[in-house]
Amino acid sequence: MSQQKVAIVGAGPAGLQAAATLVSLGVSVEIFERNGSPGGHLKQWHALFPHFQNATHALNPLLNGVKGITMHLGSKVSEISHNGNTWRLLSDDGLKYESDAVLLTTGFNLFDASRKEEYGYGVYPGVVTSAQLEEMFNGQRPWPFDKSLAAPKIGFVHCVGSRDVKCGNRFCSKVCCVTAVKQAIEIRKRFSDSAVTCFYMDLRMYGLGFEELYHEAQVNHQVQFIRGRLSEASPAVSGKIQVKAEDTLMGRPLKLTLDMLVLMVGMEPAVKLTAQNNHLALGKPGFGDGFMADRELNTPEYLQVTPGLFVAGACKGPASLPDTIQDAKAVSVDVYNFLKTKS
Amino acid sequence: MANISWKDYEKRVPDDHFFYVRSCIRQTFFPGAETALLNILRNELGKDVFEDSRHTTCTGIGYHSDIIPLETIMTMVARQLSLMTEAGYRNLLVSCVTSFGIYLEMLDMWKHFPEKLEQTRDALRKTTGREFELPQSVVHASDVVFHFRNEILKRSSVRLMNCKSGEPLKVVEHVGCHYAKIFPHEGFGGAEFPSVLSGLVESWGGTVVDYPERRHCCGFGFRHYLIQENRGYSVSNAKVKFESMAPFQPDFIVANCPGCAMFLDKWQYTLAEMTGKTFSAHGHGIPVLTHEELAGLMLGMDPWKLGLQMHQVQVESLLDKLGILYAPIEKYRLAGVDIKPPARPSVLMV
Amino acid sequence: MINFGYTASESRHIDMDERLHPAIEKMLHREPSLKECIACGRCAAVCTAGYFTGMQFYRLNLMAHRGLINEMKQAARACMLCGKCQMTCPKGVNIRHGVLLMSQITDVLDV
Ligand SMILES: Cc1cc2nc3c(=O)[nH]c(=O)nc-3n(C[C@H](O)[C@H](O)[C@H](O)COP(=O)(O)OP(=O)(O)OC[C@H]3O[C@@H](n4cnc5c(N)ncnc54)[C@H](O)[C@@H]3O)c2cc1C
Ligand code: SF4
Ligand code: SF4
Ligand code: SF4
Repeated sequence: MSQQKVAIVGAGPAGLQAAATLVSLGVSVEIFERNGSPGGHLKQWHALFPHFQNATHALNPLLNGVKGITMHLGSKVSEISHNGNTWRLLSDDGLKYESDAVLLTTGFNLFDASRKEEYGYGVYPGVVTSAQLEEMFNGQRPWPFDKSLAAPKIGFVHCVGSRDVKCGNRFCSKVCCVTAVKQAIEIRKRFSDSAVTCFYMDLRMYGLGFEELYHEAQVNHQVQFIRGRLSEASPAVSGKIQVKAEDTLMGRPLKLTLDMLVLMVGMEPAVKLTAQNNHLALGKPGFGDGFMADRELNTPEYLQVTPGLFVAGACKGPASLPDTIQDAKAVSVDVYNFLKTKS
Repeated sequence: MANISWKDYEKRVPDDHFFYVRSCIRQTFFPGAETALLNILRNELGKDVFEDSRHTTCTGIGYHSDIIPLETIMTMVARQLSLMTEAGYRNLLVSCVTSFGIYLEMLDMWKHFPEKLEQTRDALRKTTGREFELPQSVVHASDVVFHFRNEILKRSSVRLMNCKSGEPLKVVEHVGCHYAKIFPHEGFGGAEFPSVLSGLVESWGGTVVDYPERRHCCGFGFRHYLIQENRGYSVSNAKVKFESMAPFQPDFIVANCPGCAMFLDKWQYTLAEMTGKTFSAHGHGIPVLTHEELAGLMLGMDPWKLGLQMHQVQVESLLDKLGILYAPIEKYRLAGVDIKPPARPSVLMV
Repeated sequence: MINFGYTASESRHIDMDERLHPAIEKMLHREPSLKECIACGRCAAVCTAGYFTGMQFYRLNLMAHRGLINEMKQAARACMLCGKCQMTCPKGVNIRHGVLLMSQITDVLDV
């Protein structure tokens, strides 16, 4: 029996983990990644919730796990098709690859915050995204306020682009609540006189250690949690930002002037699958196109009855790193079992 | 729902042949504004603008104050449209933002409830014997000024800059709520990014002040000021706006709605008398212009012919900044005869 | 000044730009468990005073954190110090001590 081959689309945590697991099971894999380097979103992060683990310490084992595996960087996969038992993959840079199965680990895109026009992202320099804040922590991006400022005031807005029909996203992005709490604590540690306020709708502290992190933020770091979604951000004198929200627990409107406003951008799917006969296009998602677990997985014509096509990680729906890793391992076993029945 | 970005949204404005309807209240507050618009369109830009002296108020203020019933206002609107039909025009040009909202609302209602349109046709026929056609386009006066902003600029030697320092003037633009908040597609930039005034200011050389309460209502309301006891609500809203813009030290305010311009102007006097506070450095208040008056100044019209002496907040400081010459002696003269200047307020400086 | 027959009102907005009153900071220092409250409302649902007045302890605590010191002090007077609330609180907030400090805040804690 010749060694069976699997094409993995996306070298984020899900793709890297799946590649390592499949290779350990004796399968031959090749990875296709649209970016110039592997790691997906993880390589952008500074420290991980809930224990402030250094993100590179989480990324390095994943990268070590795929040593020796062929990885095509800068290769954006635009189409896959199958003919009998053979899958054919086509990338934008003209690569063609044939395999026995395809695993999609295309992950998510960050919500484009400029679509929530009322928050002024891209208009006021003090309005940034949670992903940009990670880069500030990493020293890869300057702070939008003078770092010598005695007592910077910083606000976090939860659910930006999530739980919002006006953005086409009804779902909760799952990780941004705890990310906000983590980032709030990091700000308080870095700027000891800072005042930090989180504007939330619900605090979804679903994971082990998350609620404890929230407690720590509230009690040890005096982070203020205000239940109310920000209505608008506007410029105040000298480059500051004034925000308005309803303090729904007080039943009164509230105003606050900030030096930096962090938007907790949600996740949107990175690709949308469209099927035509035995061709599947990996296109750009449109308004309201959900994740694969929402739509495509339940669309029998091209996933469930298409043997050899698998998906894992955050492309199915919002997921944390541990969720992603576990899912990638589990799906790898599915792939392995599928290949076994074929040989 | 389409995911459109309002930022660059352009509304379509016809290039010529307008049927003009006036504002009922502005004739008394800022009488020069509408004359200026007609002057600019007809004489400066050579456009065909038709007016029928038989047209009336749209009754919008009464309608929004629950005094005028729906059937009445629909028939009133129908009558204005019948005058337009009779004159052979299809492009309605509306002076007032309240009226603009009213025309759009009635047209929208008739689209969704065709039986109401039939009822209205019936009512108009029975009461006046008139017939009417629906307009092809409805534009607000500020849409037209915005549409022709570059033509106006070409004919103008004025720039919205401080003539001494060369710095752009800081302008607060205030777009009437009913301009685009009811029907976003009917306004430049929709409700989120109304560019109809900010676009004017920027293309004429000024900068727009982006302040926290920029989108707040001027306090006009409708029922909120009709009864004296209620006016505190209206004036408090204006106060919120002034307090928010004052730290930016704006050089003037421009508004496209008769109600907004008048309240932003007169309430400065009222608030000064009530609280002792003014919102500019030397106690003179922040001058308020309508978009037509601003366009008139751009085109070199005489400030007193534009009726700027009718404003509560005096405009001389602004004229000086713009380098516009004026004859102080002409300020209170009517047809060559001296008229008595109004009494001085006790707080607001004149 | 002229009386026009109407007055201008102050905005209902909570102004979070004001720095926390030093007395509130002292109070939070004296009774740190106040920082634990999650506004779940258990205290208010059982409150003896709350049956007949507007007493809601968690709201007093929110007032404290929003700098509404006078409203808080006034509202705290409704408490009967019976302690029912404290038995239900999932966060172990020392409510009675908290209310006691709140009701006397500017008298005993002022700086
Ligand atoms: C602000 C923020 C902070 C976070 N912090 C944490 C944290 O502290 N702890 C934690 O557990 N989780 C955190 N997460 C979640 C974590 O980032 C995700 O769980 C994880 O990145 C998911 O991995 P993935 O491989 O499924 O997707 P991704 O990381 O998105 O990787 C997908 C990869 O696929 C590639 N790709 C997409 N389409 C194509 C294509 N057509 N062809 C080729 N390649 C393609 C992409 O370029 C990308 O490299 C955070 C998320 C956010 C938004
Ligand atoms: S995790 Fe929290 S911030 Fe993110 S979408 Fe869900 S509720 Fe909103
Ligand atoms: S101690 Fe005060 S707040 Fe608590 S239950 Fe009794 S009356 Fe209510
Ligand atoms: S019961 Fe305790 S935690 Fe809940 S609202 Fe009252 S004081 Fe806060």
